[in-house]
Amino acid sequence: MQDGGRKILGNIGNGREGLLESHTQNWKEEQPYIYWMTSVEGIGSRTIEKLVNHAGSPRKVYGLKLSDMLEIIPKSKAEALLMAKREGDILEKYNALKQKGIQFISIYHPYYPKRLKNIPDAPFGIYVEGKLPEEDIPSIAVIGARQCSDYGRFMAQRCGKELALEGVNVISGMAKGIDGISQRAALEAGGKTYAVLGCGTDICYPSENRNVYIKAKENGAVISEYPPGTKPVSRLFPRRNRIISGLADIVLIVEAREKSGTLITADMALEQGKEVYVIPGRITDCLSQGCLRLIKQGAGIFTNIGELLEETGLRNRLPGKSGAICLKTGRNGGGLEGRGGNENGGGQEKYQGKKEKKILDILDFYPKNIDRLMQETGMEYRELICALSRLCMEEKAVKVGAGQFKKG
Amino acid sequence: MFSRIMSAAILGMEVALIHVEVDIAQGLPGFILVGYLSSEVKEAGERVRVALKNAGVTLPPMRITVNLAPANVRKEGTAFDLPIALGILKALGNIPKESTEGLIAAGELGLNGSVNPVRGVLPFVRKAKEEGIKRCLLPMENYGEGKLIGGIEIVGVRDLKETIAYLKEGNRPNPETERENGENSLACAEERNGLDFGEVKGQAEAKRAAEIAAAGFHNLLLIGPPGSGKTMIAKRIPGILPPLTEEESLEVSSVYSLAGLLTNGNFLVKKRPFMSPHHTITAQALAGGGKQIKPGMISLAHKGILFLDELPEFKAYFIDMLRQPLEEKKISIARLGGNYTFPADCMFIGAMNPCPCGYYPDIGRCRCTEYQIKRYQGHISGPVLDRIDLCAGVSQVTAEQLSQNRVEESSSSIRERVIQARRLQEERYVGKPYQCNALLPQQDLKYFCRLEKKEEKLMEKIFNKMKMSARAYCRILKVARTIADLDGYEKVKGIHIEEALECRMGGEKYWET
Repeated sequence: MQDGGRKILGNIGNGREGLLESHTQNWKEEQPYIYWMTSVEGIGSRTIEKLVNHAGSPRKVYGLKLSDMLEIIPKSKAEALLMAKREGDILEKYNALKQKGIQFISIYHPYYPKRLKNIPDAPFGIYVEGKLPEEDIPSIAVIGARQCSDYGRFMAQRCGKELALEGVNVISGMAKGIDGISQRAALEAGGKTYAVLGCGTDICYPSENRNVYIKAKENGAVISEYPPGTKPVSRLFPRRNRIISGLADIVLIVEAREKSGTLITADMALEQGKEVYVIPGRITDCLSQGCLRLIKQGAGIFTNIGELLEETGLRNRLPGKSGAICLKTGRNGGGLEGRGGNENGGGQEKYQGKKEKKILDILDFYPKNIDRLMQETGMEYRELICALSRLCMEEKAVKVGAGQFKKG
Repeated sequence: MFSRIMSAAILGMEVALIHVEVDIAQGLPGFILVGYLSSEVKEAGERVRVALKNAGVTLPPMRITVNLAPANVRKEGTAFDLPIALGILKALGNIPKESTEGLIAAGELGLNGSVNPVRGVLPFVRKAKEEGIKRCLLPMENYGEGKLIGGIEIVGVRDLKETIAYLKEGNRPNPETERENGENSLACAEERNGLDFGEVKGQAEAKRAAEIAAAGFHNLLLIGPPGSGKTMIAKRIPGILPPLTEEESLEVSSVYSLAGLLTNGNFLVKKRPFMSPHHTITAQALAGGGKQIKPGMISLAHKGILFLDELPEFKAYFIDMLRQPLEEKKISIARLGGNYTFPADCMFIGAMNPCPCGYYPDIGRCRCTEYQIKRYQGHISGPVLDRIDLCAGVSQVTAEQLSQNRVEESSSSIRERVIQARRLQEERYVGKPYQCNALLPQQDLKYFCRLEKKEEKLMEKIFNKMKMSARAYCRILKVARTIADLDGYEKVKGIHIEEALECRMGGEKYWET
């Protein structure tokens, strides 16, 4: 593994080559000292880098005195470091961490994901519960708005599921909305997913995604750059986005508003040299504005998984996949009409009555109210409501809210 | 020197006959009142003494003892002033003994000897008639109210002098105007509030729901964004309800009489009540209660509509308080003085936004989180929702709709259909304790909503597919029954069931978001 570790170093383009090389040899001893530095609040990668460069190795940083430190870092930071040092034995704390099932992987660790190592501002250490993604398996980050539309919900579900069936790892932030939905779908389809949190890995946030949190530890991992016990604070979240895109080969954006945290991730992905794909939406939907803007800026357009894997060449990296599934999904999911195009098409034909067909043509992923449906179909209230009632029963239409209907 | 005069005490909606016993005997001069009296009844002693003096009757320096029997019933209100004065006059021999034979009296006295109005006259006279009493002596201002109940002689008096003259010589004081055949007659047309459904543009769903609710007396929940017209629709529902029948009108008037709301010569409530309390209301004002037990909003809405606008803004336990009265159509209040029961047979209409900002599920405008929406909707508990048969969405009206010159159906034509449907229900439920579909009990549902094989199958399919509770199942059947009544069908058909299904709580999904 050490060989592998060294090989990677050759490709790094972030100016840390020399530094990394020198410490990769004895990474085991260095780990606790990096843990010490990363666990102190207010100490970022840049500070650590400065200190390590100054002292020679993390262990040597540990031996530095206040006066030595003051030469390169501000007083407040130096004091915080020394305070943590005084509070208890670093090795003890480090071992306690292991016993809790949390792995600390420093940048010198051979298992440190190479995809992550390549990004600018890579975290010096990450905390992992579960198993880190295998290096040669493609992984795709599926991210998007927390408050998503039903269309977004549906697409996130579909992408999560299909990626899992293809054997692609799904990376995301386990947030409400798109993130959680895609990860849940991936887990349900038997795939692996990696949740990058903005809090400690021992905290499940948001709590509604608890099942994703628990299952991801078994089939994938829960990852964070913040030490266990870190509370979910909003300012920490944007930074974790760079890890999400960093771990992924491709970033797929399902839905985003014009001003959205998702777009930050997209920017970071571009900075890191990752490809960004978006799911297009209608120009009138506010949740598509972010995606549309990215398209204007040259992002790839997602239409189906098969195409995406071909286009990006990720398919070649999939081990032992014949491509049968991809063909199937390619055919079925050619349009955006619905889950399982066959079933849908058959269903429509079944209706001899024109009323239902007319309504189905007009129904959308965005809910429409009765008045509007009446106007668009030109039908009377009672025939419309009875037809809608039948469609709801067939699950071709869904009632959301009072008097609002959308496509099932 | 003992005398006895009949009067009555009001206990919630019930009236209990009270005997005012007066004894005047030798002893240390004094005026003693006993018989489980509230403080305003105790004060009657002073009022009576001064009023008698000003009416020209001097009390002898003797011991006057007044007992209101039965002594274990709590007496409240000021209506005992007149009977106490009469008792003293009778005991003193100022009026002949026979003159109070078969007479029941109520009235408050002023210090100058005037007889002032009291509340609760309608139930009072009703009770007197039931007890076989022949004559009622009432304050002149309550004369018209008492007159509403036929078959009993009502005598109105303005002051004590007039009362004495009447009892001594039989000079019946004349009421100033005989209003009884005028506006207070039951036969006169119902007053309209001038609100018409014709003014509501679009909103097909909400209007239809209002019609169904009115036809079956179902409870209704209106959900929609702010400014979409929920209140506008609710306010127009009284206009499509059938007019109050004579009996109902008296019932409602009794409640209003108790609340002291029958004033200005309006002795009869002819309009269906529409009560719309603000959400800062207290529990007592909503359910009834207070120091002197008075009917609450829910009873004042008897036979009419209780409309709670911005439902989630009401304290959760206020809404839950409505559970029992909505089911039993009456409300029992237990207080220190005893248990009081008021009628509460009202149609409940609630209006609410779908989420705190009001625009869910319009993603473009609503930025409420799922949790916020859940919390907001959670203000209304499941058991309360269970009692609401109909749920309708009120949608944002577009400028296009507003400018359209399409003629909307007027309240009067909707009302005709509602009356027709009500008539069918009354015919069907002859001899039953309930008169409308909303009150149809589960055990009779099978009998009155008999389904054909095809419809039976449809219901079964719905039941399995929607995973609904037995109660939800019944609710759909009841609403389907009302829709069939509106169509004039004897049997419930598939289309009725399908429509009823869509009138349900926006598909249970709505509440799960």
